[in-house]
Amino acid sequence: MTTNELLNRLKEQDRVAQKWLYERYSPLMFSVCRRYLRAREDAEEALVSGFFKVFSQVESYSGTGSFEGWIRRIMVNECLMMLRKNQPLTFPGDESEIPDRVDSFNIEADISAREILELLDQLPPGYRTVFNLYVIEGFKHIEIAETLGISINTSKSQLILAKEKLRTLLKRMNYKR
Amino acid sequence: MTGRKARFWNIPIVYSSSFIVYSSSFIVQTMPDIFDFFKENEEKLHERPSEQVWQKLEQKLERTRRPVRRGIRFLQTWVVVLIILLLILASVAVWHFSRP
Repeated sequence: MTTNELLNRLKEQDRVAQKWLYERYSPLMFSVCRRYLRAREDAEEALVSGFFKVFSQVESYSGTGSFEGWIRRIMVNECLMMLRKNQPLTFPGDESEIPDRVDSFNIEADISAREILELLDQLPPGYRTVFNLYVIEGFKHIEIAETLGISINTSKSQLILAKEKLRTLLKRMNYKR
Repeated sequence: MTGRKARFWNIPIVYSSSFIVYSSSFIVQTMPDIFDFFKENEEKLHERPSEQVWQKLEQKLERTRRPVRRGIRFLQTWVVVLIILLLILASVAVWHFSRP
């Protein structure tokens, strides 16, 4: 099935096409939701409302950019909405205490998926959200600031603090080089 | 080795130290930085959600199914059929009345 055929069938609310799309993208999109939301149930709820938006707003997909990217963006927005709904996002950390430069550090061990999730789950929501948006989604600090309604400096500081926290956690797990 | 006389026994030392620097830089390059590590290992996190997720989604889709478009499509088909019938009738009428 080509993307155009799929889009036409989705616009007609074809349940087989909807199921096909869901089967194809749900593992990836669920992992996106799981990285933002600590509780599995919350991630599943965000996934349901995200796919519902995909199916009901498919006509607004302009065709510029990848369809997967468009779905992913919807999922990220759903997760951010859920985070705000559950508890207002806080961004802890005094900006004056943040080092000017954080040395890059490398990981030499092979870490399992469960351990990666555990590491991310240990980050405070503010750190984790900025970390995900910057590192995984490839947002720039200015885009993060606009999306979350924070200053660019807060976005930068949250990222540095997230990296520091991850360094400490990895050191504790003897994974840091 | 400026200001000092180069000695032939320095040559292996220089070569071996530069080899160590080269090989260590290679090791660092092959081990990803924490940011790259998370990006590269993203696929590891792919996980199938539970079966109930699709069921919930299907229920939600069923509740909000848009009947309007179906109605329009149904109407469009009937309009086309009616136009064809009218055309046939008109051509029959023209043929009938134009007979000598």
